[in-house]
Amino acid sequence: MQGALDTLATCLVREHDLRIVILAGIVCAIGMHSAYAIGGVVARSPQSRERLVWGAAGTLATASAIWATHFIAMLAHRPGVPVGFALAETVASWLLAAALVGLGSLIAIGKPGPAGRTAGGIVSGLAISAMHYTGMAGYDVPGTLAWAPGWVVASVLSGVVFSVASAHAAWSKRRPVRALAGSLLTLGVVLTHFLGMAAVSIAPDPLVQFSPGAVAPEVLLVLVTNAAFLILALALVAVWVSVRFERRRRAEARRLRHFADVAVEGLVVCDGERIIGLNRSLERMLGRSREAVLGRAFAEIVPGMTAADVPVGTEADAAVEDAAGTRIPVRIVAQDIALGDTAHRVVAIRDQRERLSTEAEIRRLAHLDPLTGLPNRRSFGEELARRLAETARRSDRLALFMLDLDRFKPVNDTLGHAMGDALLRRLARRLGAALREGDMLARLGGDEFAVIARVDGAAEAEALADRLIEVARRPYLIDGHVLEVGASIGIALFPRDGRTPDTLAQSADIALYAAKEAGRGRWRLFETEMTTRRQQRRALELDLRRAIARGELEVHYQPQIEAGTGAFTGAEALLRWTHPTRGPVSPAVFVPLAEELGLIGEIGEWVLRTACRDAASWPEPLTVAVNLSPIQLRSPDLVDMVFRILDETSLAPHRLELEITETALIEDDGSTLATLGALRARGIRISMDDFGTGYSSLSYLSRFPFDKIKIDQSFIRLAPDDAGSASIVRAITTLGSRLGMAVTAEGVETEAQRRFMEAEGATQLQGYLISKPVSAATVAAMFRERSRARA
Amino acid sequence: MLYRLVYRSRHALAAETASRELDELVTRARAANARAGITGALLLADGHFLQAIEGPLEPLEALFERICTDFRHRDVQLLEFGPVEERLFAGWAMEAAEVGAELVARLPLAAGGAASGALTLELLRSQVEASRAAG
Repeated sequence: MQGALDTLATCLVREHDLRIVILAGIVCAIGMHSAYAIGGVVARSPQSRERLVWGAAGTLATASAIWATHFIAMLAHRPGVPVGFALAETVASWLLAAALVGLGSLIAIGKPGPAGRTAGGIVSGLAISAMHYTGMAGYDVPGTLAWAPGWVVASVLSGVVFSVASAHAAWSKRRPVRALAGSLLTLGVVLTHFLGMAAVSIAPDPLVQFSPGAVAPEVLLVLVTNAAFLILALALVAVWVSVRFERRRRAEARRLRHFADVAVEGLVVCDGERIIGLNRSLERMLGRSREAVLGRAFAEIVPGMTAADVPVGTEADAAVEDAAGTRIPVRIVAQDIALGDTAHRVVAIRDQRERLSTEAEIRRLAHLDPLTGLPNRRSFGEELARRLAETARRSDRLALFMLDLDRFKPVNDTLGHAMGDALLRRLARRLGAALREGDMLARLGGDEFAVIARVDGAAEAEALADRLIEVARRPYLIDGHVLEVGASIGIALFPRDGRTPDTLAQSADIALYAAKEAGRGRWRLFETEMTTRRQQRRALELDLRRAIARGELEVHYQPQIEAGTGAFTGAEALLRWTHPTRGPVSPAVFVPLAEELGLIGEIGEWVLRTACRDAASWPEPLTVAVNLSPIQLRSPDLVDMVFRILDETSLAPHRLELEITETALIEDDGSTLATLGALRARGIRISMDDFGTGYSSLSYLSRFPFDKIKIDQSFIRLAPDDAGSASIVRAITTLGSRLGMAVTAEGVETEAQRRFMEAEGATQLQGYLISKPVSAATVAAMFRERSRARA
Repeated sequence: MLYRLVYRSRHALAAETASRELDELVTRARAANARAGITGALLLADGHFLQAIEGPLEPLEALFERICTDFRHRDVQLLEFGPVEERLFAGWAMEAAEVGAELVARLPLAAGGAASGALTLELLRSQVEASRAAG
């Protein structure tokens, strides 16, 4: 070994000009580093044409550098004899270097991976030796060259080994290792050369003819210098391009980073399972800094999952763990992208907390009534179905309560919806307090509530209903107002009154309706007959609507005469309905129904128009009296409607008499009296019907100047025999005459009643004694007949 | 602004535990009322309550709502409610007195009782004061 080193040292120091050897080393180093710089440019070039040009330039530079290193070193060689270089071998050595370097590069690039790099490295290593020994074949000396085989083998091996090492270093992931690639190759070239030179010795032989065509060292110097300049130029260009590439890469990386930071989703870039990048959203989500996450395994932020597990293209549910160890529900999706020349996996992580809480809120809102916080109609329906199934399984019993507030509408109408809402909230709390453990209270909407309760029998259901009604009825103090409402309840028992949620609810509804009909503020248990009554009412309702459409309603007239003289003065219009199959239907039945159905305005207008048209055909001075319902009286259009009908029918206003009942005045807020005043100002007469049956009759009489009072027929029927009725009749007639109002006695049926009424001072009579109700034509005929008879 | 209300109710307490429960109720009411700035007096007679409470509107309404949600009371009826100039029971967080049957007829305890609002309050006051003097 020592001997070998001595040989090498002797070769270098004794036989070479060291300054030129150093120059060769420098040229070689520049060449090899520029070769890799150009290689880098090739890798980053986006277009294949550019890659080809740069690839060719790289091959050229590498081959030229190997070649130039060799010949500069040869110029440094001082064997002590004149030397020359054969042209053919000199050129061939360059061509061979270029060809093998090109081949080696193609193998290394074309077959990515360690095997390709090794193969490419071997070929490139051989390129060095091939160049060197071809060049040496053209080394002309006056003598013969002798070769030491050990040195030759060492020379060739060192070139191959360092070339392979260089190729592996060039593709290393670590930057410092990558930087070594050029130096390793330089070492390979230099070692191949000088070990090769140590292998050779010149045996001077005067017999050997010195080749005349040999290239002189001076010529070679020029060639080599040019080659060195070419390498330098290519190296400079490659470095310049590299710098530009690097700058662009950095700008792009920065831009990408900005984009990633703008993204709402968390983004993480993985090289294998190692995290090499993340954006700000993910930092925030995790509550960790970038530095704390970089370099860690993917599974550390998404426990139980590897980056390779994350599906590409379709989102998957997962959970990430933040700095505090809290699991955050997320959806993740991966995308593989090439960063530089290696594949990376980018995982997008979307925080689901907000979406999940929104969904939970939506679910809550879908099931709860926002005003009272009680379950709403929907969850009530679900719960009822569930409990019925459960109750049926255990053959238990269950009661369903439908609760509706009484007098709630006036609260809303007069005090406003805010007050109504406050009342409903309090009611919900009170009802809740009245329930037992396990009972369910729901708000179905408006002022409708429902309760599902397990009961042993009707008695228990009734007791609970009592509690509910009592607690609802207690006064409410809200913002200094005292509100008094009540509750009506319909109860249906399972399974007796319905086996399905729908039928049970229907039964409870029917029972509720019955409770309201029975006067509100009470409960009713469902009975089968309720359904029948309800159906009958429905049928009547349908018939009434049809009757209006088909004109089955008629107006009949109850003639009126002047007391004493018996002269016809006019008639009261009476609404009659004769149903094709039911026969006559009493107004006491269908008028309240029409009021409830909102049909009374339409019917009332039709009656008024018919009566006015009929009366217009009667001889003067016959009058017609038409009843106004309280609902009509509250309508703001009433005055206009009456005036329009008078104009249409050309009936003189003084021949029309409008009758109102006391009840119409009870809820008066002043507008009713104003309406009556407007009608009276036009000359229409106003009378008070059914007088004596209302509440505080006298006060109304003093507040409005009625033209006429009509004594209710209930008093007439009992008079004169019933002392009480007789005294009431007397009081009314006295009052009428004192206030200057005419007094009509209704329902006069006997001669005794007629005499009594006339004696008591009634001014007008009507009733079966005078005539039963007749048609419009008959009224006119009766008047003419009576006039003729008296004439 | 001060408000006063007077209500009556029947109590639905079991006979044997009624007096103890009522004592507790009054004790608790006193503490709560003192905090809420409510004063008043309570008369117990023959299974009935007659209570006057006065104070600022908000706690007064809240207290009455609690009474109306409480099933130890039955047939709660509001006899009087409105703004007042001054407290009639100043200094009484809640004074209670029990009166005998002979007085019941004069108080509007059962429906249809005859006493007017002013008379009721005066009775309440005098009875409770008498009870305090005796106690």
